[in-house]
This record gives sequence, C-alpha cells and structure tokens, in this order.
Amino acid sequence: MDDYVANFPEDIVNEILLRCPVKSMLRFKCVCKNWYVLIKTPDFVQQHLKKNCRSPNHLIYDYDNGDDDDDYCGPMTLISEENSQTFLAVYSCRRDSWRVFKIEDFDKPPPFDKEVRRTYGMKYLIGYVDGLFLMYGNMNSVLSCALLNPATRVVRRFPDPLPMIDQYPYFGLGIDPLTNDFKVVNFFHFPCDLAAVYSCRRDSWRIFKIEDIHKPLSVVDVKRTYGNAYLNGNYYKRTYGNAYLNGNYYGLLTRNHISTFFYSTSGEKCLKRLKGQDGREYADGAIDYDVSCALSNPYNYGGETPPSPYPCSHNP
Amino acid sequence: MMSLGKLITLKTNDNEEFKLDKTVAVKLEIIKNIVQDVDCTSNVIPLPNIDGKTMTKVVKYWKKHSEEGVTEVQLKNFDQDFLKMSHSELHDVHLAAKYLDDNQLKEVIIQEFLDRIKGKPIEEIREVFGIVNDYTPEEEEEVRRENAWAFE
Repeated sequence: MDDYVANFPEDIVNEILLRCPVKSMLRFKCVCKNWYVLIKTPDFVQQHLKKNCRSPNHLIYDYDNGDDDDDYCGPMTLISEENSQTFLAVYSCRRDSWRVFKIEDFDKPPPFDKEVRRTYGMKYLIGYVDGLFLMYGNMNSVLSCALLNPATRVVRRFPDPLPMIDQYPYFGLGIDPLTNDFKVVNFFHFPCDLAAVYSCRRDSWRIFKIEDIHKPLSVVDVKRTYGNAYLNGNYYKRTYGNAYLNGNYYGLLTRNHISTFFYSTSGEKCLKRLKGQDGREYADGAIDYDVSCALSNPYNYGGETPPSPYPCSHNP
Repeated sequence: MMSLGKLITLKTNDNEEFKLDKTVAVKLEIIKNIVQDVDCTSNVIPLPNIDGKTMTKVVKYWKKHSEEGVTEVQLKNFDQDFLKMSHSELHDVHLAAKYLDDNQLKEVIIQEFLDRIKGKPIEEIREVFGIVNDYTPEEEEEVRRENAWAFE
C-alpha cells in the first residue's frame, strides 16, 4: 500500500517541529528546502523558544576555575535533561571565528591543531536572555565580545565597543521586545561617562554620552552589572548602584521583560518610564510588580524586593 | 434515563452515519455549537471534510475515552493500539480532529508523529511526511556541515 502523504500541510509540520528539541531541528534542516526555510524563519524561532522556554537548559559557567591568566578559557557546562556536556568556547586564529567544542574533544590531541589550541578565553558570561549569552574577555589585552547560543552552539563575535581602558567593563544583555533585537549595553566611566549600546540587528555600537552628571537629580551611578537571569518568562537583572533618568536615557520595561536599554531622546522611542517609590524615574533597576519578580537593587526599592532566587546569575 | 435516548447522528462525506450519545458528542466544540443552534436530536449533522474510515477511528477513540470507570492504564493501552496506523491514516485522523476541534486527539497524534521521527535518519523522516528530497548531494552536504554536531 502506498503510504505516501501527498501535500502534507504545513501547519501540522509546523506543530510537530515546534515540539522538537533544537538538536533534532538542526538535523531536520536537511530534510528538504521547505523545512530549511521554515526552521530558519525568525517567527518560527520565536515560537519555538516560547514553547520550550519553560524548561531551559542550564549552563554553568565556571570562570573562577584557574588563575588570572587572560588566556584561560573557563569551561561551561550545558545541562539538559538527556545529558550533560562541558563545552569550551574557542577562538581560532586561523579561521578568525569562534567555535564551541565539547571539552572531551578538546582534550584529545587530534583533530585540533596547535593554532586552535592557542586560544583565548571569554572569561565572563552574562545571560541567559532568550537563549543567548553574552561572553566577553580580554584577548591580547583587548576586550572582545561575542554572543553564544548554547542550543545551536553558535558563537557570534561582534566588534569591540571602544578601545578599552577600563579593566572591568560593565555589560548588560537584553532583548528589545518590540523588535526582538538583542542589545548589549556597556558603561564606561573613564575618561568620561559613556554608555555604548550594541544592536545585534545593526551589528554596530552606538555611543551615548552620559551628560548632566553633576546635576542634583540626574546621578548616573551604575556601578556594576552582575548579569541577567531568565526564569519562567521573566528576566532578572542584578545591578549594583542605580541610574536615574536624566533626559537622555530611559529604562525599558514590559510585562515580562526587564532589561537595561538606553535610548537617546532625539533618536529612538521610549516605551515606558518607570517611577520609583520616591517619585524619581529610574533607567535601571526596574521591577514588574505584576509578576512578582524583583531586582537586587537595594538602593531603589527598600523593603519592596520580594525574595527571588536569581538562577544563573554570576556574582563576581 | 432521559439522556440515553438522546442520540446525535453524524454523517460523513461518503454518507456513513454515526450515532453518538449526545453527552459524548457535545464535548466537541463544533458539535456543541451546531446542537445549540438547532435542536437537532432528530437531525443529522453533516461532516463534509471527513470520510467514514477516518470517522470510525475517531468515534472509537471518543467512545473509549468517555467510558465510565475506565482506568489510566486501560486508556494508555488503548491509545497505543489505536495509534498503530499508517502515516497517511494518522494524518487523516489529525485533520478530522482539527476540523472537530478536538485538542486532546490532536495532541495525541502530534505526539505520535514526534515519536515516529525521533532520532530517525533523515531518509526515514522524508518517508513519514512523503517528502521528496529537493537538495542536490552537494547542497545537502553543505546544510549538514552547518550543524555537523547535531548529527553525532
């Protein structure tokens, strides 16, 4: 009997693929061109993420393991239900690209040549935001950043923000829920106060000068971003210090997204301003009271911070 | 026993008739809507998108799942047996479940398809969905290389 389903409608294929693990999906790109296109569609990726985000894989990044050698590359452990594997993010000089290897493979002498072995480590890791991590570290004393998607094991390096003078850059990673664009924010405090915002879509940095720093109510004092964490559709962001709005920068908040975004008044739109309890507006340290999650910003929300586990956060 | 007499007749596109207890039938959104619109205990509800062969399976599933006192284990065994059908038959049942807006049955079938393709070689997956490979060998190799680790 001919068991051939002619014209298998796309919606059932869609529904089936949405339930597949990422690894299977990457394999299924080989089935036919239609499937390839479907699996790569941003809409499909978003749906898949939404459907599967309730049980995220956990990635444990151990950057304290070892000495202070800048070239040291800390291992990351990706734990999924089926198996746990340790990965190394590796920069290949020859190919000028990043790759992610299983640590078992890396320890074997072949097939990795000497050049690949001369690698540099991304010492710091921030995330998880919609499946992505931000990695950064010093390579040859120059700051380097990349986005890591542990599910697809893709590492995308992006341009260095600025010639780094600051030894300890303060990065934050977030997603713009309007455009689904990943953004990275970086603060500079020397020689002057700057915020640099990288947009994944534009693949470029924009530099905003933090002005009016001496005006009484517009203190910008973001000391440190410890990292973002993601749990059950909520983002957690840990900060130390705070940034008050001063006309040039806005914090962005939607129901399920808490991120640090900075927008210039002249350029892009601001979604929502946040009012702190003291009536001042904050550009950082936002809290969505509806979904009972909180930020560890002890200065802003004294007494109002509900207990919160901060999974995946990396507190240096 | 008033409810016992309340039967609803469903008629498929190849004129097969299925008599169902109303309490079973109105669990389905689409039937419920029709029943509410017209008091049609005597009337016949046409199902223009479903054939008799498929409807037989759907009705078998409904009857078992609305049986009184049926245990979890029994249902599990029944489902296992029920899903032993060809890819195209399974697909037909999915279409019927979709038309009848039966989310439970739809979910069961999607899960069965998932089980059928899980860990299977690409060639077998094409078979399940009746897909003709439209890649050249070089193109396929290229796509394979994009995520070589997924094939390990």
